[in-house]
Amino acid sequence: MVENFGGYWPEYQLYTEEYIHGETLTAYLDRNRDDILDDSKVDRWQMRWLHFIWNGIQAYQDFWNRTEFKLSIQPPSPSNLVIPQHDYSTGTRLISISGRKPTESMAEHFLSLYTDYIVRTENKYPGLKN
Amino acid sequence: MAEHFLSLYTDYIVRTEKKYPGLKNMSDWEVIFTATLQAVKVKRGKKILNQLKMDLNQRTLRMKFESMGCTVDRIDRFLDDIEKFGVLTKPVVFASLRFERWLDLNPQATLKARASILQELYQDYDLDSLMEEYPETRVRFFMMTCFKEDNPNLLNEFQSIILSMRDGLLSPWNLQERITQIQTNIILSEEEKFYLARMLFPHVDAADYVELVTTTHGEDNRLNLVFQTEGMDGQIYQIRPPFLPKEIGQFHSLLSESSLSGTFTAQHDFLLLFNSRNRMVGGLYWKNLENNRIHLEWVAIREKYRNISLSNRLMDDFYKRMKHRGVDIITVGFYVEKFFFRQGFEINKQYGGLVKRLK
Repeated sequence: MVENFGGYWPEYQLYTEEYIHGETLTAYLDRNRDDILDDSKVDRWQMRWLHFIWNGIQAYQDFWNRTEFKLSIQPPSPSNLVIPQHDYSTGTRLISISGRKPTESMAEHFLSLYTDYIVRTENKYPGLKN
Repeated sequence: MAEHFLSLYTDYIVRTEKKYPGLKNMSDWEVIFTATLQAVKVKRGKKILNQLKMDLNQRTLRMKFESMGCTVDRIDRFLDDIEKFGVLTKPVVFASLRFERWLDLNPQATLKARASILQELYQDYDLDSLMEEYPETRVRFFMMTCFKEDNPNLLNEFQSIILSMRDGLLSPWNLQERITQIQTNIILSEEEKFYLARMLFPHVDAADYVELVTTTHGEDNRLNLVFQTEGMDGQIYQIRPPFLPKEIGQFHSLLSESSLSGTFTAQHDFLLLFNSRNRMVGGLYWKNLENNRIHLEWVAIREKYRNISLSNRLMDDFYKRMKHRGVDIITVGFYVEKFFFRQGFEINKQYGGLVKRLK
């Protein structure tokens, strides 16, 4: 169960929480950290990673498209995605869209969120700082 | 827009790769572009990519993108590829990669084995479901797997087919005419003919022995499939449409020998059965009623060749061909019910006689 979901919807004065069956991409990659570094499994992980990139990017772009290119989820992060492990399976899901932001003022707005994202991710994974 | 794409690349791909070094080198801008096209559909996606190119006129953004390996040239090359070859969708890429991996482990695989895995992958990745949005899917899949080795003439023909399909001038379900031209204009190896038959007729099983034959109908050439089967007597038989008008005459005689009267019209089509000496031993014919409905008139097998399952073989091939044509419903008169009940025909209040739905 994915349990790191929580969204605040100021326009509706609403806070929602949901538990989704599945494992976030971050959790999955964390669980397989040693395996990913195993030289004998490079091919397997290259193919999986291509699958994760493709599905993840498509999910974020799909959201962007649904908002008529007005909003995008920032930052696009693997921790916000549940992607089936096998490339022939379907069912990629975005866990939260609470991070949606207008794309009109993209450059500066995104860059500031980018910073927020880095700080937040580094706090979550302290090893990243090095 | 430029920042949006840059953010996808840096935040999602680069940072995750840094965290997991084993994943490096499998991500690239082309994946982002393709995923975008798949998400927003091709027409809109092309507009977005052109807009992105415009955004890169701004020096700061251009520098940022160039430092990440993305240039205007690269976007142009991608758009050019889309024009020439259509969209390389994710299921096609992964089905092809999986075929490659299997072939690496099994380099001596026979043609039959290769066709079998191709067919399985095609189904597992549900490539048919992509045909409406990406009509080039089947041709692209075959290009990336069994036709990728050589023969530039053949690849040029495929490219031209893809262009026609993307322009809406050619249906992916009706490639027969174009493949006929290929058969006529290009010298093909046996292997290429083998795969071409399977590309054109998806119902053909890997283990089936089939042959593509071009026949002349008036001024037109038409491509026909010859299916080879084995009777219970151990002999080989061929199932095919008539190649010559006299074969229709022979079939009429065969019906008369079986005490059946047949009146053939322009609405009728035929599927005939021949023994190894090319002697007609049976056949069937049907009337085309609507796009998805036909009426089977008569099935006849010469007396000497009965009770060796030839009628079953003929009917099985007939169903496959009709399914490939998009036929859903076959009706037949109310006769030899026992045989047709065994074939899955049934009584239905909407139809006279018996009816079978092809699923």
